[in-house]
Amino acid sequence: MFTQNDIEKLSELVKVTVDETEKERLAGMLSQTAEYMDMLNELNTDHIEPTYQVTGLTNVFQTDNLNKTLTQEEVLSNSAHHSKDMIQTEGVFDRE
Amino acid sequence: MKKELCFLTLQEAINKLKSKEITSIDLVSSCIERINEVEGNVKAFVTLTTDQAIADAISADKLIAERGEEVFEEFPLLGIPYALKDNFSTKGILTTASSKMLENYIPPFESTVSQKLNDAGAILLGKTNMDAFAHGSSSETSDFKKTANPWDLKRVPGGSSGGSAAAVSANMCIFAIGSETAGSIRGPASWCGVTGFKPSYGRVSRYGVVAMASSTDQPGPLCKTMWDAAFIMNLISGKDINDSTTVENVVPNYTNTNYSELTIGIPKSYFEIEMDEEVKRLSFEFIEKLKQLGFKTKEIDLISPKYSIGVYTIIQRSEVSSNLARLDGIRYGLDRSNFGFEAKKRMILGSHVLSSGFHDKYYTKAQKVRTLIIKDFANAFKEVDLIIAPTMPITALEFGEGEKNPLFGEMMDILHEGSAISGLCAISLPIGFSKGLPVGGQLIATRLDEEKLAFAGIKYQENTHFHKEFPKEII
Repeated sequence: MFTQNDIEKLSELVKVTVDETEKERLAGMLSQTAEYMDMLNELNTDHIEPTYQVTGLTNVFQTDNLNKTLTQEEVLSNSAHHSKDMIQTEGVFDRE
Repeated sequence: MKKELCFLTLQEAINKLKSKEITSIDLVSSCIERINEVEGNVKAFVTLTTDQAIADAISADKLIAERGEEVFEEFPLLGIPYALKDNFSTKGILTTASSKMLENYIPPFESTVSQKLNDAGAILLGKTNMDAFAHGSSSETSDFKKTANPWDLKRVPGGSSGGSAAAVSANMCIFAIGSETAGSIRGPASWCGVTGFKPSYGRVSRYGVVAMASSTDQPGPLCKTMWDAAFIMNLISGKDINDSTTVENVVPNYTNTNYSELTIGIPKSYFEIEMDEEVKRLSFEFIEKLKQLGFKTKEIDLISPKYSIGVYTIIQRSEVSSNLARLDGIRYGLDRSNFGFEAKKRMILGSHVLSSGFHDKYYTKAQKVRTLIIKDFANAFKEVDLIIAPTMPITALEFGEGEKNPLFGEMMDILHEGSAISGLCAISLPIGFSKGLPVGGQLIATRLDEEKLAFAGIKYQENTHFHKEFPKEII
């Protein structure tokens, strides 16, 4: 079960805003979804290893060659604000 | 004559270009004319690149005139117009993934798949609409427009590659590219009456594709025939240094396969779920037809697909919340207040199942059940070469129906999720019509066994006509 408080807390973790209507809708919807997730408990998974990826590939390395890469101009081309060669962001720490 | 060229299959178009019966500019113009005629109703495209397409067609014709038929050895798709799902990055061309978040994003690089197609001489007509960030199975979660099913404009095309499927079905292009996480190629192929090819995870590079769930995302073609899809697979498959999950395995020639005997498994549990009676009947006809064509069949047991819903939901939401965390509006795109409801819903659930206290209960549990499902398929494939099932449990829904169920997409994709999280390959073929709407049937093969799918699909279509039907009244 998800409460509207759960949704609010989770939305802060995800860094999105949800309004009151969305909160109510999401609490209902996700509670329904949880029923399907809980259904997995019907299956015994003792001594079963989890699978995180299916390729079986391990330690994939690139050959140590110089490859073509993006130019500084290209990298900056989509940033909302940039100055000289740097992307500008809002300050993270308060300065007193 | 010229007007009808957009109806050509890829195979026909290549042959006619080679023999100089038609020119690329004729072919491209015919598709553009068709787009102008039906796009107002179908709404398959987010961005059109038709001006560039005309310029490219002129260059293609010049090359063909200069070098003759031999030029197709170097450029097998020379002069062929195609449509690309809008989650493939295209250098200098808007790439939104149908989300407001990326409404201004112009990638400075090209996805591997579109690069390979461009290198083969294919001509981009435009970027197709989809569920925003591929979150959905109807294409209705697009932040920009609702694509209609060309067979019935009141209905959805399926999703998330709905724009690509609709564009092929409505003959606005010769072929299209989509991507699938669990059902996003097979589903819309089925509902729009076209052929969809979902490759094994690792077969086709994901480089430059806006990520949804990275452990199952796979690009693949949506085409008018199985031969066409197999031909595109020849060109887009293979190891890519920019995607470390692609495999080294040699890419076979999918248009030239031969098997003397193949056994098809019929999973009882896949036919026991709630589904439309007509879909079920046509699926059994599909099986009968394959039997007539010399395929052997065998009943098999597979874990009920109902468990795949939970496993897939947990894994996919987790990966979505992680992948979308990078969107901060600083380096590209808009800020996080622009996420749509569906993306918020998925990220919130994803962060919940990954948080301490719930991680073992949900995330690890799901990955363990994933192991069970993989082993279950592996056991089945010891006895059979292919597994058969309906693609979708019902035919295309009317607009708005999906919103009524919070797990709409997951329920619609119930017959895709198990094979998707196991990294298997599959195709969806048109197998008939129910009340005028197309029905698809799917074949699933084990990892990297795409050749068998291509063989069975091509053989089936040599002996059936369903793939040749196209919606008549779109205007």
